[in-house]
Amino acid sequence: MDDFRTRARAGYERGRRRLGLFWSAIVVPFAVLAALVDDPLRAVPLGLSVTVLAGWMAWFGQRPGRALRIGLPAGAIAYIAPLLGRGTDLVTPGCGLTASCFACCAGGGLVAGLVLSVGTDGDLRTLAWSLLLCGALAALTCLPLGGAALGVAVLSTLAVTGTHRAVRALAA
Amino acid sequence: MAAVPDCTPDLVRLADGDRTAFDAVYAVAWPRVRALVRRMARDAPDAEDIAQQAMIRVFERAHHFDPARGRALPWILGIAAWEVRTARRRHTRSREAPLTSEPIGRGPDPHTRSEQAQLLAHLEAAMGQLPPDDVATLLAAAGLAERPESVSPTTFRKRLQRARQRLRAAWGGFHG
Repeated sequence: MDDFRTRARAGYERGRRRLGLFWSAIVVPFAVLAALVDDPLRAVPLGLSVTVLAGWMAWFGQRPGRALRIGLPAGAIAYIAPLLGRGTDLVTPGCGLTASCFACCAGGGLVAGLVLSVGTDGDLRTLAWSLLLCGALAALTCLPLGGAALGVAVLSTLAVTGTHRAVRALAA
Repeated sequence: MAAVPDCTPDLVRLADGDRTAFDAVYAVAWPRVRALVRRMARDAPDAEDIAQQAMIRVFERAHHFDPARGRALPWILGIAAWEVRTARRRHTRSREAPLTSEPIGRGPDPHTRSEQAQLLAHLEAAMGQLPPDDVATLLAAAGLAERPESVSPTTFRKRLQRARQRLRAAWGGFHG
């Protein structure tokens, strides 16, 4: 029966691999869009890395797996903000950092940060994984703007998470 | 009467990706899945195969388990019951398949014929799991279809090897 146990275990791993592929497939459109609207030389390898990262996080499960469900929507917000800015002509061509485009990205980063801090419920390790994915997604779009969005996301996440933990500690 | 152990926390851990929970879930679920399948399949000769297939399916879908929708064992046995029904339908289809045109009184006896029909049904199901290219390659290798001229002999050999490996894996789902 040990042979069957091995097959059952292989079946479990097959299911996990499918889960990883599913989440990777969700990330692929982000990478493709980034390659289309931005520099493909940067977007393609980075997009591949994010796709592999998302797939691995889903396959591995546990903290990275839980972080994926929070980091992906947060990263999507940080990713879309610079694109929205560009679409609405808020961003100057060539990804120049103007006050208006910075405001757009900072707004996206703030929302992403709130999503991260609320979603991870104060668990710092899950937060770290979520931030990694969020940052990788944000970097897919125009790098300085994605960086601005991510910077605000990190700051707001740390602020909200810190407050959350402090409130908890006081309540305890 | 001994209480049925609850493997819900273990299955939750397994669904979350904690591989160390595998043995605990396996130990609780496998005897119950096996017993249920035997009862439902009325000790059919392929009951063990169906039980194994069901158990593999449970682990393949483990990440879908949501404790908010119920406990682990009913969820596991639900999948097992579904597998038995699927196997029954497959079996019924194989019985409904037209017999060979051999005249009565000649050819294999009914028992052998039934076994052959079952093997054929399993082969059809296994072939059904393969990509169309693999099926075409296997049929061409068996002389039942034309080999594509655009494919070189070396490429064809490689494709055939891959198709055979996949068929073997799919066949393993039925016959271990």
